[in-house]
Amino acid sequence: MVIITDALRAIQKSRKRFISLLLLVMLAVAFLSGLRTTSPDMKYTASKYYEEQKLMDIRLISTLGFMEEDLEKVSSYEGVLWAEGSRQTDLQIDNLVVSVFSMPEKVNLLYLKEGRLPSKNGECVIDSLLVDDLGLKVGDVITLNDPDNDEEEDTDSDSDKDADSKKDTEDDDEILEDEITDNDDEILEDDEIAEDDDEIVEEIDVDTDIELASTSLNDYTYTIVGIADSPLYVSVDRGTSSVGTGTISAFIYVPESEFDWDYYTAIYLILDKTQDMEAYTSEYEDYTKDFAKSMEDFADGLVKSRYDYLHDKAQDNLDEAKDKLKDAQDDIDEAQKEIDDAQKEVDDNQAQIDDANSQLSDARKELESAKEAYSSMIGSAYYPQAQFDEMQNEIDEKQAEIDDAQEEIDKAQKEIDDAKEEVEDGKLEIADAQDKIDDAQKDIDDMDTGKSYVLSRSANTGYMSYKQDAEKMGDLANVFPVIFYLVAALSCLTSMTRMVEDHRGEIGALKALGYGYSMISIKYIGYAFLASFTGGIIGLIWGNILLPILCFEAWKGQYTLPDFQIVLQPKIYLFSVGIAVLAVTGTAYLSSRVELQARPATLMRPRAPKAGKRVFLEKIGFIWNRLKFTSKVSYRNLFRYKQRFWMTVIGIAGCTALLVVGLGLYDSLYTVIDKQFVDVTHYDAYLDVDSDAEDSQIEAIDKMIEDSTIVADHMAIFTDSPSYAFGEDNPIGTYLIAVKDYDAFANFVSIAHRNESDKVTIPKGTADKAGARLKALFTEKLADINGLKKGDVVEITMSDDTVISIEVADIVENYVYNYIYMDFDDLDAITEDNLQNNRFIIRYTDNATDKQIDDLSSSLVAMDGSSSYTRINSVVDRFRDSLSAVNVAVGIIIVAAAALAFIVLYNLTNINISERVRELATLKVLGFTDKETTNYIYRENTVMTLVGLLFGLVAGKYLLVWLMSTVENNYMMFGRSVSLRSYLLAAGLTAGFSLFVNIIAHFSIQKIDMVESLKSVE
Amino acid sequence: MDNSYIRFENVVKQYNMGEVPIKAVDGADFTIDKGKFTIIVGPSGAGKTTVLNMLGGMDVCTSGTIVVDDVLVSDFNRRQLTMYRRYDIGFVFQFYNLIQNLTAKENVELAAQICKDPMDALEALDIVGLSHRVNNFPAQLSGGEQQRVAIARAIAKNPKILLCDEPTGALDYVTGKQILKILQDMARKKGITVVVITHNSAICPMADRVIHIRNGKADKIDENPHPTDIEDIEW
Repeated sequence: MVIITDALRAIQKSRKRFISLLLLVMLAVAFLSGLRTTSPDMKYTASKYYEEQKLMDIRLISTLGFMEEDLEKVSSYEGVLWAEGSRQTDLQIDNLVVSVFSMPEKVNLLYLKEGRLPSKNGECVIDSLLVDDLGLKVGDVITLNDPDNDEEEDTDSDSDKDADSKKDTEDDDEILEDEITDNDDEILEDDEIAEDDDEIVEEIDVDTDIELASTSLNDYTYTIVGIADSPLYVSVDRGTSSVGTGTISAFIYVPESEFDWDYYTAIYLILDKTQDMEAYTSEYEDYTKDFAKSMEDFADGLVKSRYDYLHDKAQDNLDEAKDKLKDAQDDIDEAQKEIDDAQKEVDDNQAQIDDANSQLSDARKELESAKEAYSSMIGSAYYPQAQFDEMQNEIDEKQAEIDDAQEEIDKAQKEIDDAKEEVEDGKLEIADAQDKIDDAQKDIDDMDTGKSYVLSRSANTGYMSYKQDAEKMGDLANVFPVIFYLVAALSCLTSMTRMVEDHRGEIGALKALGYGYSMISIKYIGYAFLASFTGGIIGLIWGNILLPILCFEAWKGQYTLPDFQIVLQPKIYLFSVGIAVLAVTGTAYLSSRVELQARPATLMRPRAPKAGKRVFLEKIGFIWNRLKFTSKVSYRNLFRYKQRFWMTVIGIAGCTALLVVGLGLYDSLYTVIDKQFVDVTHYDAYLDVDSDAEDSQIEAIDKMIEDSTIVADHMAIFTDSPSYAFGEDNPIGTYLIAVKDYDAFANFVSIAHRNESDKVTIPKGTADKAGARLKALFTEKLADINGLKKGDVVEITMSDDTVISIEVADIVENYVYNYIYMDFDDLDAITEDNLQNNRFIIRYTDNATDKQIDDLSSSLVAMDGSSSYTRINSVVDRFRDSLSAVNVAVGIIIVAAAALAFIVLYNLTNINISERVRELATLKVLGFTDKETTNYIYRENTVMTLVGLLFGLVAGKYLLVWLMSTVENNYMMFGRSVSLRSYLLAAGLTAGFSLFVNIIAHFSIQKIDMVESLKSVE
Repeated sequence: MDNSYIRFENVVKQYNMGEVPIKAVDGADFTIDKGKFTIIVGPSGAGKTTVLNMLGGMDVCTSGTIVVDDVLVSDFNRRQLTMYRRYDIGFVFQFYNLIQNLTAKENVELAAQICKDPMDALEALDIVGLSHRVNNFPAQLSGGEQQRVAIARAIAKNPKILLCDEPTGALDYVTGKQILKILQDMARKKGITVVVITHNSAICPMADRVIHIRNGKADKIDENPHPTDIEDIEW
């Protein structure tokens, strides 16, 4: 076909046009499909990983643990394919907190990076993070701190108790040995009481142990046999713990046999139906979410039975102890009785002795008086000396007998007194034991009924943050390519229109020769199709490989995932290439159609030149009259070729806007961290306090912070994360903060309007009784997403289900998370809850070292009543990491925008020149120098570039604001301001491209043959 | 002949179309006198446009010499050629080549503003009889009027040579005659050297000198001591 030959030659003849069309389409397709597929690719890569590592679908946890039979029940729950129990405890390696897990069998399999899995006790696999943190390698030995030796306070008091009771027993033994008389039975029984007491104490201890979960392992020293990643932790976040610094640094897996526990800490489920589902799809997320919800009652039941079991066990133990105590009481009572009897006997004996004594003294008296009587009868022949002696002897003997008896009684009395004392001790001990039993009973009665959680993967930090990050890329892909396509399509339209116009005469000739519409238009459509299709395919190939990999590599620093996988996404391929081909070919068809409608005769006649027109500027005589003709022509031209003017302006504006958005994204993302953590908040760490901490414990914590030399300032505040606020949306990252002393709080958080330096104070005394409406400050993002303005009233359900009504007093600057600031006393008044400050915010001195800070935080976390410690630095680092990955995307956008700007400008300038070849040639013939001729074009280009720039800068600003609101999540507000530097850079880049293109144009103009001016108008 | 105002001496212009050199002008020799009306005539492809290009400073010759007013134009470089076009040549195109966005007056001024000693634009338009349409845009003018503007634009520069390329080619008979009349008057009354290039040999009698170009050579040079008035020529 001659016409095809003609079409192919057309390509050859207009290489520049063809290539610029091709490049435009290539860029647009690469950009769109590249960014579009990044998010699915990222998700697919993760999904494959989860599938291979058998990441759990549902995680069941209970504060009380699960029993073996629970696992069986869960396994047979409908829809569950496989359930596996897992044991886990948090321990420390020096100051580093690690989560120690039992090796999984079929769920959450480890992804070995090095070495092998542990095969016997004493071996472990470690987190690759630990390799970075401690520089460990396979073959090294790690030692975990044994909590039994580690928690010194507890251990000390335990051994003291042991020592005491041992001493008691020894004392008892001595008494036992001393005892020779008939009272020994009683004392033996006393001893039994003491033993009972000990037992009671021990049993109560055992009860508490069960509740707190034994953390002991069989080994604390392990040889590293492998290094692995866990699908449970794809992000670097390892969670928080009540141990050590409060932040878990890594995980370790040890053989299950290391755990001699009768309970599981968690049960992991893999569901039947999810086997054919991809992670992160809405199908999967909906199903697991619903499944988790449906399982809640069941899980509550498990916890209830676990509670009953623990409660009954504790109660049984206590009842046993109570019985023993009762026995002891009986024994003591009996002993008391026996002592009383003995006392009575002794008393009787004493009376007898006393009788004997008095008889004896009577006898002695008798003897004395007899002796006297005889001695007064002097000379009496008969002095019964012998008889007297005998009597005396008898009396002495008796006396001795009585003395012996007395001594024996005294001894008995003493023994009785000792026994009494012992019984008294026993009674005291029993009283103590009774107290303890009462306490234990109270503990049992108050025993935590336990809570169960049925968590789908969406509760897994790594899983979720990866999803959000992947979707962030998707959001970028939704907005940017649209602008990109628009600009590219406009440029193509201009090109194609121009091409068809160029070929007017030819079209006329073909028509005159009898060619039909379709035959003629096929040339232009074919041309456009070839350019767009080739460009689209090339763009598809490198865009789909380069962009996702670039983005993924950027994210890789934060996620432990295997190599990137590109998933075929024909829909996106078809869509992006299809749209491009359609747009370009469509414009070709449309523009050729217009010309084809005309009659051949009209077509073959030169097109009537477009009439010149006066422009408004001419009415301002003093300006117009001063202009040179070339300027006048330029201005008139600008308004004369309106289509070209707007094409160029929109093209340039689009590119400038893209650049502004790209650079502005960078600005906004990067500044947000400094803005939040330098300008808005001024504290370095916060320590959360247990909800049931006692006043004395809080005071102790306060004192410890107060006394620390590295703390510059601290303050206690009340914070709550509402369980329900603002409709269906999960109020993620929304916190309520109530402060007693605003002035003090202002040292930690600068509350102000954005872009204004004034301070906004928290309203005080706005509510005084229960249910009253409280006035509070809302942070900007929170107000934004809920459409709140000053004076609006919202109801918020606090975590304890109290519903409070809050009026928006003002809206203040904030970037990360959402806060509602209010007065403590006001909140206290309306909730009638007797609120207690539950968070300490701390600012360290400038010269505090990391070590000092870690030490302090470790001690703080170890305090009774403290719950978790968070250092702002780690939060900042996390944000910074996550943003640095977004920056790669921003970089891609900037480069793409720059390339687009260049191609569009080049294309438009080329068209501008080719449209005006005749005019330019005429000028040359008239004797205009090359420079003057180029300037003639430049002036127009400059004006168009400037107008485009201006539009672009403004549009970019608005585009950025809009983009930001789609890209940022519910708990982050990015900056909305573009720095002057970025504006200048965007403008400079565009102007630079424009200049560069103009330089190229200069050479094209130089090459214009003056003979062109002699040709007829085509 | 040596003192002629314009001299073409053995001028050759060779184009290399692929491997075959084509001589568009192959040793053209002729002279044109100052203040005279000269017509260069020849059939299509004879090389008259190439002659015009070289004379107008739009192209350079391969060999030979071109002298205008005792200046060796054939030795000019790019810049000098531009200045030559600027100051010495007034060009009238077949298709007028007016700047569509400038009014008649402005189109004239456009050329005038780059000259050293231009004629007043209104005066130039008056000369071509268009003083009543000075503020009209080209699109508002008829073809003849547009060509008159083009002539006004050319003469406003006070050029040494008024070079006209088929000035009536796009015009009807009557209008064409009017234009030729103006050109003839330029030579007769203003003393401008007018060179008209045409394929229409019918108008030859109106010229002082007719140069016939054929096969790249000045085939025949006719002198007309008494040129006919254009009104008297019919074709």
